[in-house]
Amino acid sequence: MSWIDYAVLISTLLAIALYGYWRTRRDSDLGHYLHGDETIRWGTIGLSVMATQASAITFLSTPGQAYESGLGFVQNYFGLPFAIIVVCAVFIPIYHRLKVVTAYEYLGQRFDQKTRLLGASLFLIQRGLAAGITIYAPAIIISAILGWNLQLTILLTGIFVVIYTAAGGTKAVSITQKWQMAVILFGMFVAFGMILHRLPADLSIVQATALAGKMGKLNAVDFSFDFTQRYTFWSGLLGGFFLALSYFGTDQSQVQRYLAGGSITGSRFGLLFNAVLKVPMQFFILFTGVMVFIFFQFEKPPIFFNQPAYQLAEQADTAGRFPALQTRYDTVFAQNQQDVRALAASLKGGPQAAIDAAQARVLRGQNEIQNIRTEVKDALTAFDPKIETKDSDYVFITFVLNYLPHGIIGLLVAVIFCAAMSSTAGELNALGSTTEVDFYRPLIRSDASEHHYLIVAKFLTAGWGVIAIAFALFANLVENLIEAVNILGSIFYGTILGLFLTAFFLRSVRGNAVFVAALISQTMVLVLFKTTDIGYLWYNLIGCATVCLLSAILQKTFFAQARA
Amino acid sequence: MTSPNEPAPDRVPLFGTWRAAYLTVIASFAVEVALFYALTQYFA
Repeated sequence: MSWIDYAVLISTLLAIALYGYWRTRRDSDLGHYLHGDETIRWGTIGLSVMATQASAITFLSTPGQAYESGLGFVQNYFGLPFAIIVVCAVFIPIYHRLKVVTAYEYLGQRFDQKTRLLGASLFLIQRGLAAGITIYAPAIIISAILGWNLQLTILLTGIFVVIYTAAGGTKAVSITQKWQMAVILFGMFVAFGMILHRLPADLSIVQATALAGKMGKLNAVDFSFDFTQRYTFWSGLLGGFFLALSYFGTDQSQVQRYLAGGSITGSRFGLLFNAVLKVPMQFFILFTGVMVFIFFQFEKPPIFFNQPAYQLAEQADTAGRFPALQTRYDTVFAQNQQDVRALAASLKGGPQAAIDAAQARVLRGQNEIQNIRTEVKDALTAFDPKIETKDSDYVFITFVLNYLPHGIIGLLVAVIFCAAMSSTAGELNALGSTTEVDFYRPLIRSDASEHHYLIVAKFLTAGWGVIAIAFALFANLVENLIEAVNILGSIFYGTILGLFLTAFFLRSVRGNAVFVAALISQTMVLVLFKTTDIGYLWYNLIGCATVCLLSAILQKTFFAQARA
Repeated sequence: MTSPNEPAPDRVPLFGTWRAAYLTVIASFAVEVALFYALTQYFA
């Protein structure tokens, strides 16, 4: 990165953080701090919801995912529009009618205090860990690629966010997220334009898309009922529905975003904005990854995208294994490059037989390249078993740093930091508010002044920020951290969603029955996690269904007397 | 008719009713999936 890139990066991040701080500097109203004010309109809510969901890893990983396996991942979001409609129709009217600040307050009003605390505790455990990962995951990639100090990168991401989030609360988070999302969308469009610009002059976007199709990268929709396929239309619709319903309906980091502004119309329009645009946005990011893949058919990519890790192993390699693999890779790539050019030429009106023959040669070459990359990963693991051999997270950033002009590089690194900061801000805001509203007020001090609660909310938000930064700083002590937190999220989400669905739809169930059902469900999910190999996404459905069914049964049997 | 305790009915700009807004979202999702499927098939 040159000084121009650093200037663009630092000025973008500072300008947004200072703007958020400046807009809320004189705001001393507790209500505004916790749930914003009427100046927050649906457009801001919509962008704020989108910014909270889209973390930095979305923009680092998603293009790399498309580079490796095409567009199929977009199907994971197919349940989202339907989940958002349910949230708009069922959840939002109740939250607004009861004027709740946190989703868990509703559990207290519908059931009892212990159920509210159970829901809030599950959220704090899960989201508290996730906040650390939201900072850590991009920092480890950015610091490795740019040669920055990891601790300084984590502090750069974390400290700005903690300052403006703790100082300005919900309003500061919403208005900064709007501008961060604007930078993110602008940056991604610029990146896409630059990729098209860097493709060979005789290859149009339609021809590049046709080439991607022949290389198996445009498999966006798969209607088969094959359960061994990771992404299908049906698994995305069903699994994605429950995941999105838990996330948008019961996760305070999202609930706080769409309750900001105080108007039911604003909340609904803000969410519907996401229902319409989220799927195309994910498609666009994946398609950008596919175009990066096509670009790297004409420009030789590194044999392993995490180059710092590769170079470390290569320098220590005394058996000459890596140079031998590199020579093989160079030869196979050069041949494959010619085959890809022949396929591109035949797609411009050539006979079908020529297209089929060229396609077969290209796919064979791709297979050989894949085999060499697998051998490289095996060699890296043999050198150091702790090396992360999944290098797809490094694909997009490698392209950005090596093939885009200065200034644009700074803008795209700013995109990654904006995404990290916007999702972290939403999380810290929710963690601070939940701790204050659901724990501090009912359990510690219930008769203090508004000013007292405002100061406590600010300290709690800052406290969660310090915990998140500290967790990110020491995160490398734990292996496979990102997957561990994803699993942790799925383990708790099912029970939380079950609590809310029981509250909404099983009107006869009371607090004791649902509380016991939630404890049994959570224990059961933990036992299943420890003793079986069930895919972790299923825990959402299992946990939710168990709470609903068991609470209904318990209410009809053990707790029937209590109700009467 | 709303009771004194209920908020005033929500106005729905552009769509008239919330049901129409939700149907528009579902229709736009159907169009998106159809376009993705067409892309998958056309360039396969």
